[in-house]
Amino acid sequence: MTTKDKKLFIKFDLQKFGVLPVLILFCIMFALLEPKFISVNNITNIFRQSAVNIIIASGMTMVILTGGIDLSVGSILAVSAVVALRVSLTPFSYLAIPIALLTGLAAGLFNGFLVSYFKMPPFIATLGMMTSLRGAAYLLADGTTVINNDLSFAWVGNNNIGIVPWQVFFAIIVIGLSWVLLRRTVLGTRIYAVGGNEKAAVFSGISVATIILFVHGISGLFSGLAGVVMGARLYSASGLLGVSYELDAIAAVILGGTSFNGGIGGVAGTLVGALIISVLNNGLIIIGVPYFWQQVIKGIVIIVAVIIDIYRQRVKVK
Amino acid sequence: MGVILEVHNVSKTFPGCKALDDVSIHLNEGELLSVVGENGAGKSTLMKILAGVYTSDSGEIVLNGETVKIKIPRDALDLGISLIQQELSVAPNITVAENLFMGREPLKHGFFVDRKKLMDESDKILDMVNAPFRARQYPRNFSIAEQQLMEIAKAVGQNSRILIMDEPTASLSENEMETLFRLIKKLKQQHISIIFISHRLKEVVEISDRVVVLRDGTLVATLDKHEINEKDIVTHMVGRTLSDYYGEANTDVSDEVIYSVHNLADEKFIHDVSFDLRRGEILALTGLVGSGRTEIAQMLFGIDKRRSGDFYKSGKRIKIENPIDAIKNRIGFLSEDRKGSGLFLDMSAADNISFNVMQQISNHGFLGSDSASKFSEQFIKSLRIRLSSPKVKALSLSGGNQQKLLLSRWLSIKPEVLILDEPTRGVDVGAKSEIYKIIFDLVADGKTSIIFISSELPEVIWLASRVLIVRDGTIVGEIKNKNEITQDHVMQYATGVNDPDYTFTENKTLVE
Repeated sequence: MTTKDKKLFIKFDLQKFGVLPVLILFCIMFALLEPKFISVNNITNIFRQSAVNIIIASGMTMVILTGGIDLSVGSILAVSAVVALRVSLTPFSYLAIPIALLTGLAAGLFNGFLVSYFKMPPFIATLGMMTSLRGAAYLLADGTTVINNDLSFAWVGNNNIGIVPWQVFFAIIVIGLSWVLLRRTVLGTRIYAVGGNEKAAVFSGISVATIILFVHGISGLFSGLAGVVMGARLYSASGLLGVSYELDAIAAVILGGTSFNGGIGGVAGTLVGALIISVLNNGLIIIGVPYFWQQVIKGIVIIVAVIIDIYRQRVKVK
Repeated sequence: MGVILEVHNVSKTFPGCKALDDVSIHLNEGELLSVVGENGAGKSTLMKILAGVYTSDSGEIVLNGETVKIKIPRDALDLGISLIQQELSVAPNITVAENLFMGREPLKHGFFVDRKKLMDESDKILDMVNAPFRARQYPRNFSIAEQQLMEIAKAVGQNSRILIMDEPTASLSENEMETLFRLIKKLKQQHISIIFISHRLKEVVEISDRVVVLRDGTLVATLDKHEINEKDIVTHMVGRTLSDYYGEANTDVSDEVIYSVHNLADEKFIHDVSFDLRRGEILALTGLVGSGRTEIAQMLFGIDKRRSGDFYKSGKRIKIENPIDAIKNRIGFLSEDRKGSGLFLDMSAADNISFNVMQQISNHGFLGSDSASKFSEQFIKSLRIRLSSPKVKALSLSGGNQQKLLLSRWLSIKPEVLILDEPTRGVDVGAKSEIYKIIFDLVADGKTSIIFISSELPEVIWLASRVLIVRDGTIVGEIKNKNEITQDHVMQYATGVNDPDYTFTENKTLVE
């Protein structure tokens, strides 16, 4: 390898890391300000807190890669959680998880149907679904909180394998599967293709409707899984669960370098993006920043990180 | 006539490639200077530096004897340099006048738009460029030529002294081109200087006062008026001679009909289109822009909805309702709009090549990290696609290489019928010659038959074994004998000098 090649190689890799340096920078900063931040306990905590967002954001990544958006993830989470708790109180409690997942999948597929069949803008279709499903979650819970202190699947939200909490394990599995799907399958390539140039995909004999249906279905399914995790953790569910989670998920995806126009990005970045959000949440509390300031800082970080990313893209092109 | 613009020793490097290397040119007042070169030679980069889209790494620009800094497009406009791009930027939802004065509308009381002045001034400018439309019209259904005229009007309205035209004739018909050239002459008389970029050397020879040739980012030749001829330009561009410009035509075509179209029609324009394609044939579908040839081609591939029409392959009726059906029947379609409906610019070259056969090269839907690259190797080699690695983004390749990516994508399905819509649009001379060779090689063994569309008549004459001429949405003429295919003959049908005399005899052995 000549020196010139080496230089290019390093440059290329930096490009690939995306916002990872930002994450590392925050970790070092918080660790210096408050050594408690890097305790095993706290790090496990950060991962646990980010698990739900990672799961939702993985599905969101796929939707955004096709050039779409899914605003209904928080509401799907709530519906699935309530359904899971409801079923857990019946004699068929062993069906709680499968039925909750199917609920999420069905809601997602319906989103996909609205977008691909009626050609509705994804923003509008999922906005409508977000509102309707929020209501549905309240209705299913009779307006109160469904509680089950003897929850059959409580392990999902509370137990560990080794030192890894089950929900973190699920999050890792979801990220891993999503990465394989996007980077190592024909379907994944087609997701990028539809987001990158829909017309060209049509000309190449791709059924765009199928791809759209698929990504929304996956996003719904993952939201359903997130609902199961939330319900298990709380031993309860209500219509209030997961309000505004879509925003955290979108923030994670965009922080992770996935283009809002579709076609560019991936779940590796999303993982880093979700971790940045969790590290900020956790770190700002640990160093004692007042709550309102936490909000202000988080917003600024998202904006600045994306500005840096846009600037870097531009330098690359010019 | 004095020198208006001088460019001294300009260089520009992009990551991984030196786009311009120490280039110096000058431009005289009222002159038309053509800048020619293969794709990737640096023409566009140079023009974009002049227009403030890019900034140069080194060198200087001198305008009317003064050194100027052009950092953003606004700077260029303020200095009187207007770039008329290939992709036109006309807003269809506001009037022509509002388009012309966008960003510098005449004001009343410092706040309100002075509508009357806006319209009057615009009409004055439109008269100056002989526009057939008026200020109050909406450019909603304007043709490319009319949109281009608006851009020129905009530049004239801003008192630009230098107009840079990037491939202005790429999508114009012969008539529109002549109108444009007349306008250019008029602008020159008003001492406006023009920098003209085109791949069509014939017109470069026709209208240029001077020609500069770029190759690989350096200036290789400057030709004065009396030295300008096609042959020399090509020699300078590619560094070789015209004799190996084209491939070798195949003349023996079998009688076997491989693909047949009956009574094709759409809802409004296309009607009564029927023809046969024979095995190993290169059938040209030609006609003026707007004649309906692209619409017909898209219907053959199941993209445009049709009202009627039956397709037969090797005598058997086939269903083509969408591109998926077409591909299943081993029909390929290379779109005329490379970037709009062809390439996935952000995906790798390898993914672009293997896209149509990904399922086949995968292991039950799963791909290895190198599956696409490995599959693409054969095409990269046989089509001589120049890239540093199969994993580079399609975005980073030159026009000719991008076109070869798309060609590979269609070759990968082993097409029996390949529809090529403007296969050499926007590619340089070298790549053009290579694409011709690929086309000839394809039909040589009779496994692939080709329907191709082109608005470049020399190309039609060179490639086609048979020509069908389209006018007003239907086939009006057929030229069967290779030696009867001449520009005049084709144009007589295309322009309506010859009355339609195309007849189609149905093959009797078709199976429903």
